[in-house]
Amino acid sequence: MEMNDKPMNEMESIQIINSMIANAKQGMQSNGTSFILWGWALFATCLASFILYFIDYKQPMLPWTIATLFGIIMIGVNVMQKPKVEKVRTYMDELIKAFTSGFYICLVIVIAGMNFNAISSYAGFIVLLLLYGLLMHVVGFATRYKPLIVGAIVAWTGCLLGLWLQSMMYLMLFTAISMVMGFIVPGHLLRKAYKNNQY
Amino acid sequence: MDFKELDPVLHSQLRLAIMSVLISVHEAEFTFLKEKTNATAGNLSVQINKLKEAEYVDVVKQFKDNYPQTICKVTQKGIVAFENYVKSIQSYLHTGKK
Repeated sequence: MEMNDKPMNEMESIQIINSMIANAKQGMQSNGTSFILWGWALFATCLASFILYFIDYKQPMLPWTIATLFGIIMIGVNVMQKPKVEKVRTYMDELIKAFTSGFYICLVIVIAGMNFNAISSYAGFIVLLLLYGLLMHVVGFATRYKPLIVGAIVAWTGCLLGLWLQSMMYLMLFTAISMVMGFIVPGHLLRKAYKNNQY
Repeated sequence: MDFKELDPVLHSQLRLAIMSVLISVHEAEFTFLKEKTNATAGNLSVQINKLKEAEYVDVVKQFKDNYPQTICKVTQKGIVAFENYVKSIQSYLHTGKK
């Protein structure tokens, strides 16, 4: 639409407001990298733990020690990176940023609780799965991104099954499935969409 | 029915377009506004200055990675003015239908 300073009538005013508001709306701007990285890392850790439980290995939670080191390195790299120059920052971006940072703080508190034996590993992993589901649910609804909402349903179903079966081995399996449905699949779909439709 | 007088600052195509974009987002860079409004840089700059003089937008000029960056953000006064403008337009349209 070409803009000038000619007088306009009421209908033209409304048309400009509507078209500009619709035009400014942004979809999800993520390229899916963090979903893919974290998804695969957590999936591999859960699956490795599940296999170690299955073969009755002495230290079935060993992959989590390695994953924690990997996590610290990834967070360090993230902090060191220069923040991306954004052309626009929406109210939704602010909300999602606040929510995800809150999510990571909860994650750290739960993991610390498990390491200091303040909560059992089983209860800790149940809470972690609940939190993953909450993250997928909120971000999925906020960005109207259905694969994340499906991921949340899978995570919470896994959580309920885990509570019902009361088995750490199966809880690892359900968490691994949740990672596929909630992080890996949406992450790859986002990457595909980002490559095809960069604004 | 009494017609509310339309705000002359907002009753201009480009200024109204700028305000409509800024109302929908938290803050936007000059290049984003240029892309969305399809205006020339010169014209856009003049209209943003008029909005700034009316205290409807805040303009922050800074350097990011050695490149100049102009960020525009709607003020509380701007939000109230935009809401009043929309109400006035709606009252005109409703009266026209009767």
